[in-house]
Amino acid sequence: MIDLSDLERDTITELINIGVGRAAASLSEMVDQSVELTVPSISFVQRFSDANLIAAPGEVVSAVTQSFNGPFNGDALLVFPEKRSLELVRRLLQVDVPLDSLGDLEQEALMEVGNIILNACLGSISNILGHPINCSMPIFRKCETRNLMPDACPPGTSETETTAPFLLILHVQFMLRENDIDGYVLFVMDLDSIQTLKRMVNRYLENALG
Amino acid sequence: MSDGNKDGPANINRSSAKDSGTVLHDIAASSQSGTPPAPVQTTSGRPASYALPDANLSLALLENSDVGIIAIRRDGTICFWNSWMEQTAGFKAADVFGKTLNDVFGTALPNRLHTAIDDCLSLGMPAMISPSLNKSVLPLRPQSQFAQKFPQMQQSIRIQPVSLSDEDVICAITVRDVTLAVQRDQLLRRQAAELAELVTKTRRSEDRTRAILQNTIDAILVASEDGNLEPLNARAQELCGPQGDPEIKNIIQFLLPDCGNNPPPKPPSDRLLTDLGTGVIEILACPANGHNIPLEVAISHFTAYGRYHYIITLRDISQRKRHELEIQNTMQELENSNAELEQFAYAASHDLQEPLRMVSSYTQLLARRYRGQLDDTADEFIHYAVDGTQRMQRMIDDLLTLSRVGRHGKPFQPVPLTGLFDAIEANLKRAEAAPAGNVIRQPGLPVVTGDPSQLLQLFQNLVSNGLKYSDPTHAEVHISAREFDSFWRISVSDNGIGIDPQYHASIFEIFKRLHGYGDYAGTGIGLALCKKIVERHGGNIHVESALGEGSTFHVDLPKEHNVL
Repeated sequence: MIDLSDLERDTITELINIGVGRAAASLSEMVDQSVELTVPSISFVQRFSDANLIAAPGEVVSAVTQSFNGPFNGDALLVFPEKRSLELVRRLLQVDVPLDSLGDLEQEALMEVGNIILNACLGSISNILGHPINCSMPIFRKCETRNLMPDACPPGTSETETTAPFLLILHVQFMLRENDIDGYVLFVMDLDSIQTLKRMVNRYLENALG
Repeated sequence: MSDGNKDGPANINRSSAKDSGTVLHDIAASSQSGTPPAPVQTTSGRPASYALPDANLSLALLENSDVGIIAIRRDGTICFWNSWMEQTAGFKAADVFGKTLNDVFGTALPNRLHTAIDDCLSLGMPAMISPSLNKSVLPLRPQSQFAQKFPQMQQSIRIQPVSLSDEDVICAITVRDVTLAVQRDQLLRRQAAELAELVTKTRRSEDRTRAILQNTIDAILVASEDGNLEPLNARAQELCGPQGDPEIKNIIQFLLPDCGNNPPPKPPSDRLLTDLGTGVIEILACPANGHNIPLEVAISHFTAYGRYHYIITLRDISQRKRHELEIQNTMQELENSNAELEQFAYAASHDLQEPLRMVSSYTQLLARRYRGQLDDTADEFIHYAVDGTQRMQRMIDDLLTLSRVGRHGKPFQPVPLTGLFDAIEANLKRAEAAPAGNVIRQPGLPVVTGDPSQLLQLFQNLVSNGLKYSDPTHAEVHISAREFDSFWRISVSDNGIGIDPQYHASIFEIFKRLHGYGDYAGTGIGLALCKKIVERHGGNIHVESALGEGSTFHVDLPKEHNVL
């Protein structure tokens, strides 16, 4: 299990909050309405099944994924239950016509939202830690929660601490037209990466605190 | 940069910023390894035998690509602009090289684009700009077929970093024309909105219809061809439900015009309140939970989806039945009381005759035997007594006649009025009441239906009244008839003294007299008798008259008589 000191955790939270704030400003300007984004909680878990997200494994979710590599590698995902994602896009686009599933253009809009938020989080970390992070274009997926992580070990196989991916889970809340829409940002990293991140956070802290 | 990306090939370093052709070569080469994660990698890690594509080929492919491709240097200046961009933006590549996007378009491009380009160049972050969240990022001309609805091309933009060396990164912008997709999306949305509105309207109308049906007081059922009955509203469900009448469905099925091959048995007679031939169907429902309910049944039909259906409406007629019963009772009481009255009038007048005859006989005897033997005053008194008894006698006779109208009426039959008036004239002549020729008849009097002897009495009364209240020398009575839709109007007019309109109604009352006994003889029963006879015939009698201008009595006799 990964050990993070309070200071390290606070630093990561702070970095992410900076990024999310920037993303909110950017979205507000684009859709010409107030978009507030808050991150009420951040947690580290080792197994996907430990996350609260998995509470409804059969729930269909919309996910925007961007892979990243650099000092640390992994995938960043923005995840919404499908219904919430429809609601989010419709509120952003201010259309009222209910379609049953995301159309092509709505899907692209959701990808852009994911792109903006994930870029902001990664960019914020990258910027402050002074290391560029290479990112892929976002990919859109619609699947059941339990299939969100194809790499996760199927139940029954032994999972060792070294191979199982670590998850940094951010609970993200969108405040749009006086409505809350909840989603999650997941950072999925291997042990090496998370230790690199921890090391870099410490180095940043040393510099910052003198 | 991570260690993995540090060992770029030497040819990248060789590329000169001034020689855009070389840069393009590099971009073209590196774009072949397009698998994420980005930024697009250079040729590192490729097998040595892998041949690089020809630079000119790559350039030509990019040049002629069906998407817009722009490359921007770290300083924000444009270093690649393919022919697609030339056509849609209207600027030649040679004119845009070395300028920024703002320089080229001269308008404020959205911040989203600038931020994405900045993030791409400084942090290496790729970005996508969707057409839904960003309206026309670059001012590009749409294809001509969209020009009318879309002043600017709808674009989907991808921005990604391309590393030229460790230190040098350029920003590649790919622009796709998605105007068709946006148009399609708008169309879809509009149709979806119309559909949603239609559904809402239909639902609302359906709700309304259902509410009307549900809240109708009558029970409504529908029967399909096979005789299957379905209650349509709450009242029908109540009647057919567990608390309702278990027999009601069988009764209804029996009433349907064609209820399949196995007609249900005829329901017991106490459940069918009316004969089936009369057009009105009334049945009795006996619900398990309460009083019996008389119901009127109406059956109509319609055809839906090629199948015949019956609509059965059951109306609770308890109230009506109760009223009918009340009316029947009242009628019965009225008839009883009328009969009693007639009986009383007959008995009274009949029994009065006996003592009157005695008084009359003896006063006449007195008058005959003792005339001149007593003094003049006594003679006068005796004369009054005789006169009084005679008047009394006539009144009682008339009363008897009146009471007999209802009790001794004969069955109706066709009565030719010509013959009737012949008889009247003969009677009058015999009584010397009328000089010949003063009763003038319209030719072709009709045949009416009624009791001949009563009609004779009626018209004889009217004719003799006419003669009585006229100057005897010039008296004329006219008889005429006029046909209406449902009745004959027989009019008897005279040229006599006339009747003040204020008395037109009261002259038909019994014992009503407008003049002193000395002026015109009569008991005051004549017109009452006329009225009673006319009423027995289901007709009307009224008078038109003014003082001094004669009177016309109109008798309306219906052509057809309802079975009473």
